[in-house]
Amino acid sequence: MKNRLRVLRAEREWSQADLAQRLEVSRQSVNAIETGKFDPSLPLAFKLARLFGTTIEEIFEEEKAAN
Amino acid sequence: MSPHVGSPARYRAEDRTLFVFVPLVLLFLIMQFSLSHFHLHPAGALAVLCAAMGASPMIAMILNIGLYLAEEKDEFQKSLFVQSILWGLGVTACVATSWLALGMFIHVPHMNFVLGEFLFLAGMIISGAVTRWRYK
Repeated sequence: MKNRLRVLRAEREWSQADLAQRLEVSRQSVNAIETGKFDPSLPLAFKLARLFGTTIEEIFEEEKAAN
Repeated sequence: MSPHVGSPARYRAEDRTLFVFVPLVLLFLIMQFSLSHFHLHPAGALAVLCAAMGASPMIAMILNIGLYLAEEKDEFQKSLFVQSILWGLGVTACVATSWLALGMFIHVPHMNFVLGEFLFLAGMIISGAVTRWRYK
């Protein structure tokens, strides 16, 4: 799943560690979500949306299947 | 803002490993050494006690794993841990199955339960390190 986390984080000049602390997760978790290696659960996605003052759809985008 | 250093659940699990699991392993090793050094063959209640001491490190480890999974709030860390448990179980099951299959055709010694514990922990630790490295 693609996401805009890196952009949103950069706009606020937050490091991955800063975001991790705000979300109460590890920095490794933030990195894994940012790079698309791990899809967060719905509660964590809502937490991210609330933190950035936006919606889940504005942060995450479904990758289209290549046919 | 200071970085989020680590999960409290992980620290608690590490403490339990250090103060419960490790002493139980040491007790078991001391018991094993004493039995073999003095050529003792416990029977009755003492045999049950020795067996319980042998099983206690693994039981403690399983309880520790369960407590960690219940306490860990970081879903990504939890998923990494579950992956490493599955690898540990997979390695143990593969070796045990192969060993038993081999026993159907040739005479092989009984698989020691300590080997099972060792394989599980080794599989878990190695796969845990590899998985964490992949997501670094």
